[in-house]
Amino acid sequence: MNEHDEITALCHGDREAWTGFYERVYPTMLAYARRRLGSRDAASDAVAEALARTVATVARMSSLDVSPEAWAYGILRHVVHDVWRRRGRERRSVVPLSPAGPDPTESVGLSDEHRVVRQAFNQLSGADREVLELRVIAHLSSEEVAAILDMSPGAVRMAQARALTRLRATLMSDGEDDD
Amino acid sequence: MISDEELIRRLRSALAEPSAAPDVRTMEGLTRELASLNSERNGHVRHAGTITSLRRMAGRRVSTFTMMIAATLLVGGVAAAAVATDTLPGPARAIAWDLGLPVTSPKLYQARQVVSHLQLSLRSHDRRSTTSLGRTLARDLKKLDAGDLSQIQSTADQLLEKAGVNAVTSVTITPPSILGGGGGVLPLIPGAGTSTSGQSSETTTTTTLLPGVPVPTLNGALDLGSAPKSTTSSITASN
Repeated sequence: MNEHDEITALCHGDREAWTGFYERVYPTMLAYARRRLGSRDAASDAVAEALARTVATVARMSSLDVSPEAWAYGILRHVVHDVWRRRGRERRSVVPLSPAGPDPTESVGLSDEHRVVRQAFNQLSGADREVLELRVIAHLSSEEVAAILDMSPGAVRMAQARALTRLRATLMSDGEDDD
Repeated sequence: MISDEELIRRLRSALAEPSAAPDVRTMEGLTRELASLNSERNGHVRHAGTITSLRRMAGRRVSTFTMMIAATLLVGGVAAAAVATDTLPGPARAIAWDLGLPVTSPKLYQARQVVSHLQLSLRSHDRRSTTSLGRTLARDLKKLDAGDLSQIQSTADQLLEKAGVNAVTSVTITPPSILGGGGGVLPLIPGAGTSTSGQSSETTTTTTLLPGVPVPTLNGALDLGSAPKSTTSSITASN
């Protein structure tokens, strides 16, 4: 099924098309949300919410000439921001029992190389991480990332090149430290 | 020095989430939203959206009950204003239609919208969109009743021909009632024979059976009643 046929099927509420779409984007969306929200539970809540909103707004998507993936990621990004805002409000009114941090189960089962790359990736700025995730992990085009991040496609390509340069530098300096 | 390609490969490998499948709650959300989407497409109202929007505007202190009343008044006011001009949006149109108000039926309205989009698409020579809209129109036409179909059919036929989409001929045959279990006793229909209604493209064939002719039922039993019998089969052809 090509992209146009898929969009048509999604717009017509074709259950098979939606299930295929969910299965395709779920792992990368979950990873994206998990890196921003910490826990797997919060991430899976956010992805479920984003995908449900994607279904509800599919008519608008079809009129905007964007891929379903880009549309879903754009929504997920808003959902993650909403969670952050909510957490900010809750922190002001409730004293947390324990400081929030990354999910301790995240690094379980990772090889040394993967752990090193993840550490280097986590040292990048939020903007660098976001552009790399959308381009490299979610496989979105620079035009689609530009639409999501409200930048020009050229600026996205530049940001990606800079983020890769910084990641490379971090990896090399970490390697030297280890030596 | 690591090349960009190598760096991207390592990054993909390190950040990839182990193949996770959507959980049950996510799939339930899909089912719910699809039901809602299909219900909207069929012209039903999604009250929750209106109530949520009002609640967002009014803040959290207002009760759901108050919000429901406000939403009903809002929707009702808009609908009342729009009924007079027949410019209702889809969901309100469905309600007005169900209430018997003098508005165009949602199905005909939907088909007219597609006709309008198809005309634009043909004018702009957008082949892909034309084919897609043509198929949608052919499908929508099948859902119309004879009265609605007669209002739109000639225009639709011309457009479908230009779009290169074959209008699907729908033939609905109502089986004779003699197949029912009640012994097949039907009222006498005066003026038996064949009549054709040109406007609705509906051909009605009425056959009067001779009095006293036994009519077999599903279980093979014979109805020996002597009342005159007739069967009616209705063939609707939409081209």
